Amino acid sequence: MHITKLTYSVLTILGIPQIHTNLLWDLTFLFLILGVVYFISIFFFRNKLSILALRRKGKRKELAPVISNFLFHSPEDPREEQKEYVELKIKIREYLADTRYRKIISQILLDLQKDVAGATRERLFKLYRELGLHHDAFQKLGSWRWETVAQGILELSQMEVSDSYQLIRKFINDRRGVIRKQAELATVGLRKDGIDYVLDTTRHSISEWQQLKLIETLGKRKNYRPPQFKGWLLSQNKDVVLFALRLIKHYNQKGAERSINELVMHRNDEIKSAAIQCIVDFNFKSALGIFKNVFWSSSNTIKVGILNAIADLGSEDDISFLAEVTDRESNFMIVSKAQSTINAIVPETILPSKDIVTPKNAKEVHPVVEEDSAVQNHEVEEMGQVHNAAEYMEVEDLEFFDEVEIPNAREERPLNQETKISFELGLDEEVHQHLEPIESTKEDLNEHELNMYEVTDPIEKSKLIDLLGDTADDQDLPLLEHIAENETDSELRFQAFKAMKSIEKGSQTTVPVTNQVEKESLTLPNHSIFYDLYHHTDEQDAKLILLKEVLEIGDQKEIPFLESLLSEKNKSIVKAAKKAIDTITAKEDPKSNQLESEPKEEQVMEMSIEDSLDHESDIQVDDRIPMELFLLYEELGIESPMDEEDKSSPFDFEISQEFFLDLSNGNTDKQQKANK
Amino acid sequence: MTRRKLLLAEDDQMLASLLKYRLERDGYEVILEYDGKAVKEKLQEDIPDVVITDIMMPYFSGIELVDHLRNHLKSNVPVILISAASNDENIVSAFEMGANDFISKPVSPSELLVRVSREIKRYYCT
Repeated sequence: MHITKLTYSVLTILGIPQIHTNLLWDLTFLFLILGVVYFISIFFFRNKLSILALRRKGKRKELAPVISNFLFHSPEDPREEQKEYVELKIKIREYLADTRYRKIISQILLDLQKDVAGATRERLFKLYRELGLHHDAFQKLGSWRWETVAQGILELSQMEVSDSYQLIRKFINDRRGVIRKQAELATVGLRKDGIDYVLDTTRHSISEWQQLKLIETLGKRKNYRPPQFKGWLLSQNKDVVLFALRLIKHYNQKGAERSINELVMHRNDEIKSAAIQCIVDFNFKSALGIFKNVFWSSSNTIKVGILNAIADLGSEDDISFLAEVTDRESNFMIVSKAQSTINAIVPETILPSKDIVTPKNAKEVHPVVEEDSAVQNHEVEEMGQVHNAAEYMEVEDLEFFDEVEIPNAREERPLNQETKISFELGLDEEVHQHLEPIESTKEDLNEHELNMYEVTDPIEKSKLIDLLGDTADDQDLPLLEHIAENETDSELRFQAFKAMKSIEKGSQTTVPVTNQVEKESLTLPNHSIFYDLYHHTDEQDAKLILLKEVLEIGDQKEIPFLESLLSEKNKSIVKAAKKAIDTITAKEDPKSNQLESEPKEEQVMEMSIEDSLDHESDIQVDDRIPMELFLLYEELGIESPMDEEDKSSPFDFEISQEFFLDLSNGNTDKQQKANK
Repeated sequence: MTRRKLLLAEDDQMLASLLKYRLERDGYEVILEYDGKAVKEKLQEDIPDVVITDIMMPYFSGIELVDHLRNHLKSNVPVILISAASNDENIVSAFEMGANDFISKPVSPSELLVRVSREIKRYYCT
């Protein structure tokens, strides 16, 4: 208590802790002793286990010849050997009285049964029973420990003690999973009707692994005649039904056609799936009708399974159903699967059409497909469902769709190989006849689209433009162009322009955009890259530095932003913005620098600069330049960097504004000096 | 009549003991070894009439022993391999090395006896 007081007193918080040295020593000794005890105990138990293992090994060595002698003893052996056998019998009785020896003998026999076969194995089982070792295993079944019970069941099943069947099968519905599984295997292994009992009574699930182990156990039975497993297709336990289906497949029991077909309509998807697989394996074509009936009410996984099954079992008669699936189904995966199923039944009926580039000299095939897709796409949009046009495109390209109800179908004509080939090679007359109404429909469609667009309110219009941009279909470009040109709402115009750009980017094709649209699209201040930077800071100096930068590197896009600054309260900012506007205007419109009259050299420069500084100047720029100015440029050695689009104009020179300013200043200085 | 000498190499002591007992009962002299190293040493001392070896053994596998026997000791004595049925690749390579016969586990002692006597007849009596 005194030590505690010293060590943990409140004073220790304030000063150096006063720990009693004796306490430290005591603790050191205590931990030393604990450490020594710990290591000694490890050493002791390790040695004990090693000694036990060595003893066991010695006993095994001692018992091995005895067991071998017992296994290979024959009544016809010589007299000396018979005498030796009797002596060994007495010896082994002594061994069996000792529990440790019993365990070792039992273990030896269990190990040996794995390595030996034939008559020796049969003798080994007999010896096991003769020595009464199975009684030990029976005792294990009564243990409260699950591992002991499982060990007992394993031992009895491995040593093929058929008397234990009645005892073991009680464990089939044990709440402990390991015991249950072991009991199932033992029941199936011990008696040929064990599988019947397991399937009849089990209330628990049977895992896939367990099913395989059970089938393996059944496979080991010699001359095994399996029961008709269709009887268990009616089981309340879904795992039993699944296992029965697996067994039916494994033992090739084709007599359960109707039962299996009925299971396609089961509520459980696992059972449905297994039944479909079974039907495919057994080639039950009678299930095709059921497939079609259950298809629409099934999950996507089952739908895919059904389509796969139709691909294996179906014929040309099923194509109409598949076409219906392609038409009605909204899931892309199912549609693709249906299309591949069509191709599986009649190869190459649907050809690849998405992202196919049509060569210029190939006339009709692909453009027609695109037209068709546009019609289809329109129809889909009308239904309020947005899908990629390519998903729908292929289906109506098919001639066999004459069989399906399409508006232009004229007469029913069965699909055959000839028509397919004619489609692949080019368009035959019949296809051309189909195309005419489709082309005429396209014109109507555009008008219809425009009408639709006109009647909708602005919010809907905005949504429609977004939608057209998202679908990224080149077919929508004319409509978007129309909106961009004729729409009164500038925001919608800009949105249409953006959509056009995204489509162009997507299709990697360049569609010329009118300058008018481009200009109109750049009317908002926030289109300038400096807009955010400017509003990011509150400091006036920073804003002025930014405006200086705008002046130097800005272009036409910055003008709306700069104009918005003219209404600022701060005069220096307004001044800087005005200066920037003037400079940019002058930069962007160099032609306006050119003069309409023919003054002298210095006057030309001054006027040009004045004009450039005057941002509101509306001078009509003439493409021609005065002869004097031309001579001056020639004298200075300036070359014309004519753009492609400006080739029509006779002369155009890329001269920086600074050059004119410098030149002008230089001339003015000279003039001032002369005046002085 | 001299007894044929067999070298049995098997790491499972119980199975080895059982097979030894069975072979001895049939009149063979059996030298039992439990690992590849001991087998090699025994082969250096004396070449038996037939070698029965497990493929999977400590230190040296049955395949290595076949190779040692054929290429280093230049002996053509019959070699019977014992192995689990799943070791297909090992079995093929053992035959390529020069093994004469193969018996899969679980071993039937009676079958082994027949194979041994057949190999002896084929090698020594023709």
